[in-house]
Amino acid sequence: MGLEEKIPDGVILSTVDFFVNWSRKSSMWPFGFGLACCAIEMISAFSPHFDLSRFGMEVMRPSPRQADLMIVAGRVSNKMAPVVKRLYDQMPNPKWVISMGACASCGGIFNNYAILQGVDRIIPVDIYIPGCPPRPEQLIDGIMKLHAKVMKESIRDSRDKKPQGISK
Amino acid sequence: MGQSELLQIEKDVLAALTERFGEKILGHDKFADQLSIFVAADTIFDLARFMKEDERTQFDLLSDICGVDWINCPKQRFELVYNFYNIPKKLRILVKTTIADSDAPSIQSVQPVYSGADWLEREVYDMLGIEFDGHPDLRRIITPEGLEGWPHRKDFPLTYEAPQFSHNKDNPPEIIK
Amino acid sequence: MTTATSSKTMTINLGPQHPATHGVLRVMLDLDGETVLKATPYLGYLHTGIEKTAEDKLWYKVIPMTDRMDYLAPMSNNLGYVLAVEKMLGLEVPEKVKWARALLAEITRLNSHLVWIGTHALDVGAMSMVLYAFRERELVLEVYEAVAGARMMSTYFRVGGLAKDLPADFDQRIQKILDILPERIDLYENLLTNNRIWIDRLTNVGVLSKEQALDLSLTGPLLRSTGVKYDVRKDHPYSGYENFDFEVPVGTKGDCFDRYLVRIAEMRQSLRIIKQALDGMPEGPYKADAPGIVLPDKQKVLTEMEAMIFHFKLITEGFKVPAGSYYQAIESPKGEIGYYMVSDGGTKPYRMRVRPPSYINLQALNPMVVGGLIADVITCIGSIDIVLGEVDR
Repeated sequence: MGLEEKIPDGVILSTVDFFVNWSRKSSMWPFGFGLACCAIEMISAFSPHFDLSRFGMEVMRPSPRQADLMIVAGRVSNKMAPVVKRLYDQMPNPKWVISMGACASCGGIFNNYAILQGVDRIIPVDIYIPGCPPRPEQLIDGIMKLHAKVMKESIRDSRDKKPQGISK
Repeated sequence: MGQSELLQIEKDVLAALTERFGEKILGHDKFADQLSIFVAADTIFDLARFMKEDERTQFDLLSDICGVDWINCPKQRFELVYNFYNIPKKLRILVKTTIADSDAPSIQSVQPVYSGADWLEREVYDMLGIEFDGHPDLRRIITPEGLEGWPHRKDFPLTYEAPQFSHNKDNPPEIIK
Repeated sequence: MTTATSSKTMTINLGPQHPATHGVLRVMLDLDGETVLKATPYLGYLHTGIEKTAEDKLWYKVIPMTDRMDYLAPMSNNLGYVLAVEKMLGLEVPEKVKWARALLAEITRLNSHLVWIGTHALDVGAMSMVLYAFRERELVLEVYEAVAGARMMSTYFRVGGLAKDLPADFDQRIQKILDILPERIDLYENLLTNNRIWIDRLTNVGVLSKEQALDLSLTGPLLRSTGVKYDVRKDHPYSGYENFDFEVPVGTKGDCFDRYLVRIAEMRQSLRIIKQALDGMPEGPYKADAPGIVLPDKQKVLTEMEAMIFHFKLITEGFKVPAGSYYQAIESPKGEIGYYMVSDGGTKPYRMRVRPPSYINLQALNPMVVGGLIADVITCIGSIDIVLGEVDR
């Protein structure tokens, strides 16, 4: 049926992929969700000195329904874990997660009964940022790496994939 | 730790307490600038009222309540430390009392005297499992719902979890309690 | 409208994820229309088990954990802890250490109050304040970074001294703060103090009487705004505060606006203390001469055998603290933070109890908001100045 048959699938898809990914990464809406110490550094990253709006994400959304990037900033306690999971489930697809700081990534210096040893036990994580707390530059670097990751995605992947979120 | 001399205002408070409560005052100890008074557990409510209202004491601030678990002496297992402060006289006194180990250790609440004791006592209950009789709203305050046990007791495990690395990924380490 | 519907009460859940609760505070609000009948805070969403974990750490290893309680005032937390342990050890630190600690504690007060004014004003609706406040906070964090190497979690105070000597450009950095910040505080005051909206949102909101505040065990700016002049720095001077000339600002009415004025005045007093501490900073060693408790110089560790052994023994075994207990209170930006330390004579604390000012001050939320409007709840939470890390520990 004309031109479509002549052109292999991959060419068009990858071009659409590029366009979609580019628009997704260029206007990410992070979820304003602070837990502990790292939240203050996250605010610092949004503040004039570091100015995250250079990367098209100055709009912090207070509602998970309007956000597509969750920055888990701080230690996740066992009491907070169900809340984090629920907030993640409420975010519409596509969505990404940055685990900011040692506590969110692996429990940090708190290896005890109260703290979840890594937020990746309840939600899938795309980028881990080390540090206690990470500097705002590190957060920005993590976000840039996430942008690079988003650019490598294909809409076919997300079409074939089942809804995200793993349960424990 | 060495003993220090009592100041005059501390002597006055101690004399007033001894006069009112007699043998319920079990003793005192002074380290550095800090006076601790040991009292019997059943007198704590009256003592708190006396500390707040009597003109010789007038401790207007109940700074803190905390509990210590001395697991090796069951007869005096739970030590409660009431931290009274008198702002005009700049005097801080720690009142200490002990409760024996039992299934439901309890002591009278001082919340009716100092409203600030509300959350302080709830925290002690939450962390050590000491019940405060007469507390209007004794619920767990900090720990998650459904937690069993009392975290600050010495027999509660800290729950150290060995970290996972790539070399033990397929064979995850056990949770060490 | 019939009158029957207007008397219906409603329960609203605020948090734990809410941009204006300063973290993960959850408050259940019982409302009648827009009037608050009761506010019940639910805590523990950031419970970290710091007090319990401290029982499992060597005495010097507890210091980094204290940073992470009140993460806006890490140096104040460190100070309270090291003072308590030093008192139990009977250790005297050199004059320079005292002065440097007091100076850095006041820098910390600026840090905390700057974040407070930024977030509080943001909650009430003055968006630009948060941008200004975080811009100035960078000056403070630069000092942290210069002395300790980390922007937020400094862990700079050690038992018996400081982690390392003050950097060479310390004076210039502090001088920069002293030059810039007074003007900027004037700027904030121009923006807020005579601002019609700010006054309307804060005046007569969250009023506490003197008796109520004392009964609820409140401390810090919350207590001082009601007119009670209680400041641990004045009443029980620690770490060389007796050398400084400063005033304790107090309010009269005990409403949110008074608390704002008290904190602004405290920032100015902090600058005054910082200036005095910088001008009069004595020369001398940056740590006490106490082998077995204080680490030897790094240079000696690399060249001398004894120093190497001391270093190794101290790091692996820690030091012992005589059995006993001591309560050390200091004035943190939030109020009286106290450390009740119990030792059984071993190398680890038997019990560490922190008297958390944010936790106890948060008790005032219900009396403050009852009878007010729902919008005032946010003002009151901001005005109490809580840090959830310290509330839940």
